[in-house]
Amino acid sequence: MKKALYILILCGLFAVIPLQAVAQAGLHIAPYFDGRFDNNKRVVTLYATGKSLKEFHLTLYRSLTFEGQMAAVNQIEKAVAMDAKQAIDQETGHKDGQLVYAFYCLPPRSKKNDQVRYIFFRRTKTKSILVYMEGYATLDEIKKMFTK
Amino acid sequence: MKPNPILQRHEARQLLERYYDGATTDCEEQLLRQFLASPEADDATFGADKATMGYLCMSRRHHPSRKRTMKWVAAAAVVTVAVCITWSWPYFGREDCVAYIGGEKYTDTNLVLYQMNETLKDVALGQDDPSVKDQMRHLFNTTDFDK
Repeated sequence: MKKALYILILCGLFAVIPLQAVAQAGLHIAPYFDGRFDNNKRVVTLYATGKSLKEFHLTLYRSLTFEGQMAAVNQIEKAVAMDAKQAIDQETGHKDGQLVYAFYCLPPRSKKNDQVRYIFFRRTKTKSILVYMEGYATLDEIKKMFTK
Repeated sequence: MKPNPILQRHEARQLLERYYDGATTDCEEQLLRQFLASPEADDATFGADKATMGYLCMSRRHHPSRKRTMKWVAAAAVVTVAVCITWSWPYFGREDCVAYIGGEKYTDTNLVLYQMNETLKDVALGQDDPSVKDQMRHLFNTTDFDK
């Protein structure tokens, strides 16, 4: 019995280590970037990390673009609203009671990991978009990315 | 089937003396146990010895060697790490730049960055919603917003 308990405790400890390294983990939008839409012909999924984002001062970029009005977008909107609770800066717009655009700046995860995090959400009649970015880009630099 | 006693009584006594001195090998201890379990050792002469060897056997069962415990720990660690790597592989296994368009996978960096740029423009431009465009313009404070 004691042996089984020790093994269970050790399993739990070893499980914590890799979980710390998962990007956007802990956010409610995280599950939607797990690859579930990769083979969906109505969704454009983008993943970018590393040196390709260096010029943008970003370390991670994720986005989902949904064609038309897909059911998943309503769930994503709820997830975005949940993550918005920890935002340190935000801008949102609603139309007919529905979130049509949102920008959230989230604080760094910790003192050790001081990268800022951004969530963008956009819903139109023809498409809906969710963007998540991490890095050291300032808000001004993010603005320039949108207007290029 | 009862084990055939390999030891004679006098041999067993000699081995027992060596046993209590800690000088017996595993093989000799096994022979002693066989002897003490046999009818040859049923009299009171070996009563105390039976009790002692029986206690030590029980003690060994309840206190497995440290080596065996470490093997369990190592096995648990390996299994856990393997499970965690498998679970988190969707996040670690991705290339630097990947796009899924129309269900097809593309890993060309230029294509992915182009799509990223187009996506960000789509986020910024509210082509079918002037009120949203105005609010986004306020956010980004740009005069050439419609480009």
